[in-house]
Amino acid sequence: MNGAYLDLVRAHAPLLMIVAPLVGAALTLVSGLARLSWVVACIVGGVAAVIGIDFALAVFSAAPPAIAEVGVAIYVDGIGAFAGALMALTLTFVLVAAGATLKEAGASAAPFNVALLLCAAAGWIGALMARDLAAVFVAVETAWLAAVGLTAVNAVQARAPLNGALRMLSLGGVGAALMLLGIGLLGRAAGSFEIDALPLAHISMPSVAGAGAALVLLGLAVKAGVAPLHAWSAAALGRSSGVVSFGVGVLAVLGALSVMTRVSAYTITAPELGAAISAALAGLGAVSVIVGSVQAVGSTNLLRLAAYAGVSQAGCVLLSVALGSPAGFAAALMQLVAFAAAGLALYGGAAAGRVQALDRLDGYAQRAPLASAAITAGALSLMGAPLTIGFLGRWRLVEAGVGAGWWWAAGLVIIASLSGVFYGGRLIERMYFRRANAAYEGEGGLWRAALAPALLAAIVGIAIGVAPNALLRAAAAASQLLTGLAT
Amino acid sequence: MTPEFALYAVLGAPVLQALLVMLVPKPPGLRDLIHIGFSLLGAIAAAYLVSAVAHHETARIVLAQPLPNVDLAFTIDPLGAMMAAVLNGLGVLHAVHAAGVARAKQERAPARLLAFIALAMAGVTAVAFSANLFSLFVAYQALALAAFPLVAHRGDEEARPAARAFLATLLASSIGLFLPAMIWTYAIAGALDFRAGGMLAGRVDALTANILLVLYVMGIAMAAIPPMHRWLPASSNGPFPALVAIQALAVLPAGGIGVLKVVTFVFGPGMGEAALASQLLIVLVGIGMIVAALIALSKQDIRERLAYSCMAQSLAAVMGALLSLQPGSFAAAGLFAAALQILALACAAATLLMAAGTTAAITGRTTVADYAGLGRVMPWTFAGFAIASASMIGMPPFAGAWAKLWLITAAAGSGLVWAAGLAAAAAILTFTHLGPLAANALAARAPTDAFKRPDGASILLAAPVILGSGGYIVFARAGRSARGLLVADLDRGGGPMSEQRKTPPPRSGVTGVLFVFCLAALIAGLAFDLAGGVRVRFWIGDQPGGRRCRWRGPSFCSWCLPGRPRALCWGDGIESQKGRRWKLTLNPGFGADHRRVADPGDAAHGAFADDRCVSARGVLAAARSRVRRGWRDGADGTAGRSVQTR
Repeated sequence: MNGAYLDLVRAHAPLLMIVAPLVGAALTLVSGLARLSWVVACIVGGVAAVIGIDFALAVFSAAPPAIAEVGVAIYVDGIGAFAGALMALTLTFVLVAAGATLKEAGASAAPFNVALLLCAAAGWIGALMARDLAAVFVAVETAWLAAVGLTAVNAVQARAPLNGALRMLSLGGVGAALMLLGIGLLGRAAGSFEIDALPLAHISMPSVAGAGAALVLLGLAVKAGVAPLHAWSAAALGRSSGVVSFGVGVLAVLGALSVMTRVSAYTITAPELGAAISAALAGLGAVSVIVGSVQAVGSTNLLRLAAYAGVSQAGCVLLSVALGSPAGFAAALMQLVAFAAAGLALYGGAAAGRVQALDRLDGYAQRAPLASAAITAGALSLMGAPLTIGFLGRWRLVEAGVGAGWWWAAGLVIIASLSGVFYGGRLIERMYFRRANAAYEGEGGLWRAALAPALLAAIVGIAIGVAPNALLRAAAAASQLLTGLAT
Repeated sequence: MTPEFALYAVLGAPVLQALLVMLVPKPPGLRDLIHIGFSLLGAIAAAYLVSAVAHHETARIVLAQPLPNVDLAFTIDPLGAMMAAVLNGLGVLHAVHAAGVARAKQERAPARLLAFIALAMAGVTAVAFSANLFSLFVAYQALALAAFPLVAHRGDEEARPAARAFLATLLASSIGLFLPAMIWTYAIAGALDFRAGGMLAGRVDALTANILLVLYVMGIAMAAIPPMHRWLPASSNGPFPALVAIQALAVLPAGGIGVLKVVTFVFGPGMGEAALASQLLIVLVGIGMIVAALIALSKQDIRERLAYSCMAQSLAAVMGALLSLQPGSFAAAGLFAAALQILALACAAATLLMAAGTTAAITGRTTVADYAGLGRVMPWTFAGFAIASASMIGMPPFAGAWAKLWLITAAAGSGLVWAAGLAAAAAILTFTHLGPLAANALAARAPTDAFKRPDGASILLAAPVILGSGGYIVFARAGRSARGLLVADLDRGGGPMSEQRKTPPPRSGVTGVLFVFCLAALIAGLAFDLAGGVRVRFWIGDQPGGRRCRWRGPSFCSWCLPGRPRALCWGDGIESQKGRRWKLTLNPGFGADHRRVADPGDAAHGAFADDRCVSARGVLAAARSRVRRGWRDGADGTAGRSVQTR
């Protein structure tokens, strides 16, 4: 009996990964109580993560699973399965970690916070599983508006996050318009809105299709905070609460980058579009690496530093995708995992002690040794230290880049790592070798356990860096599975 | 014991040692016992590996496979085994000495200091045994991160920028230069495993080989090649035990070992394609040696002087490694010179720095002007100092002499007589900044200050220096067998070493002239100064306005924390006046392991409410208050810190 239910769940796994968070969001709003809503959200997130990981493992096994027809245009491919599982797992981590800071905007706002987090995750997972570009657009906008709402709801103690939310709304609106226009142009030129048809479509107007694809990617790049389109990120994250840091800095950016990777993988493999899309992505990635690195080095705010480091990391993801090869896509997926782990560790470590300005990190290791350890691991990963997942992701990019003759991409990776040495080293020096200048403001008692996801992310980041074979195999399988499983 | 087990032990023992030391910071006796015991364990394991290598046994351990076809692996080879054995052997002496200094100077956070020293030793051992470029890179980065807390240990306004410069230089160069070179090599060779004869041999054109050589040599900034040497003077801010680890046993030798391994196993001896870059780098290194020795001469702080002196010696090792890339039959001589120079540097620098640390712990003196006559009251310590100086200079029969002999031989044999000249000039300049210092310490009139012990130091402080200096003589005698072992390793791929092994180095010519000159200069200088006056002066200036007086008395020290036992300790100290500034240096008594606390009601009492949270500022304020009150009788031995008051 149980086996039958399990089979049923597995057959509907992609749909459940989208629906479960949405149902969970409704339940949290109904529950009304802050802690209860958080518990419900954590359970729902955990269920989605288990389903997602189980589904991904099945997809990458020798015998891919059959997916039930449900009348919804779902199209599962390797990148979607990989990134969907990663999103669901990250959602669970984010929900658990946000528990300690959930009430910063007031207890009444807590159910809204978790509901918006769940909606955002559902939107990004939906975009990763959507069959046609219109559905991708709807899912992305759902997720983005949830992220904007999350930022605005928590803009209670300072005006800066409200300004950030406004920027997110306005820039995201521009991005949405560009994306919609691009989808129209691409659909007109390719004769279909279905994403899986793009690589094989007979494109009658390559220039129009190219412009359309570029606009779609540009719209997504705004939401991923890719430089120079990242004007919202510092404003939204610089003085944000913990839940916004996790929800926007990690979940939203990860989701947007994942969707960008997926859409790029289809457009770049279309013969008429490949070269132009590759050049555009490479240029955008290069700018993002340089701008993000420079801004991270100059940051005096930990949250902004993490945001800018994320911009640099996003640039590395785009460079990987721009290669247009399975090796490049695999490198991009590895970097997405690295981004999630480093982001969770950095934002989690900062949220544990309510640290925003860098000088508040002075002597942090004495006040919060575990949070400092998480930040250290995140910083090491961002600087690409060996035996961390950050090194692994960048190595794969360099390997793929050198294989394709893109030596300059290796140079950009070196720049990203070098800047990581400066800003990461500064974090470590402040935490471990300065005298504390402020009292610990983090949660005490049981809520210290909210640091667990950050620590777990740090440990996972190092464990994968030491023994990456399973993840490498999964990423390689995902990158070669663009033909999709079922509808 | 199998070689694999010994390899695990030599790599793992320091890590376990660091963990235990951090977990058991008190009582200090147990902490120090763990520190010394595990150092000894590592040294025994390293010695066993030397024996295993001599019996042609092999061992390889794989800790992880972080990249496809690339292992994090370590293997034993003669070069690595010899380096690890010497460095870990010296590490035992250093462990004893560090424990003594931590007690005598009441170092802040001694457990952290000792733990990171152990981790640094693990790092250099991993560098020595690395089986491929990736493992070398990982070990290199781990060593940089482990040594960073040693530089920043004091945590004051001077230490923090120094630590930042240290870490930024080492990591930035390794990521910016070494990593691209490694990636490039991977792209060419398809693997990163070290190979006797060179991974790149026969696979690269001249342009690629030259660029790669520059990237590798400059990327291994631990070798202190200009302009990547900034970390070395920056590290002078660390406490003396940290300096020994950084400049003598771990970081600086790791740079030399790294360059040697890259030249031997990545390029291969006698690789003519890289001859141009190697010659340019030899020019850079040679000039760097001379400039470093000149800068050392200008430095009055003993730590800075020794830092630049060590830099010059490390560059000599790099020169030897680079000489091996010159076509011809003297490649093996260059490699052997480099290996021997690294070992000689480790022995000499460790002894010099330990002697300086002992002096600082007992007398509080760190400027070269204050060293005059100290050999009269600390004869054993300064005997070690003098022997180490002689080895550093390159005076026979000590280890440094043979290294320089081989270096000059390799340079002359390769047709680069100017390189031999640069090396010889650097040796003479080393003599100028170390020879008079040692001679002055031994020959000048004894200072008026009296010391607690006849040698001025506890056995923990004096014995390592004496034993360390004794190492040169042993090492000099063992030089021939060491050569056989090392050349066997460097020659595994065939090539020019086989011929070189049969060819003894010339014992005359330029080399002989240079050594005779050095010896004559020393004798003439000493005779001139001894005949000219009571004090040996050379280039060492007197300390203006200095006046020392002695304070000594019984000190009743107690633990003011509830439940702690009371203890009776003895205090000792020196007060001095420099112009308008008073300097008060209190040296804790022998057997006192913790910070002493004043009697209840004393001005300093409040500063010791919690011995873990006590700040240096609090100690200084308390002691300053005592000075203002005309405190003279020494009711207790408060700190063991230097206090300066207006």
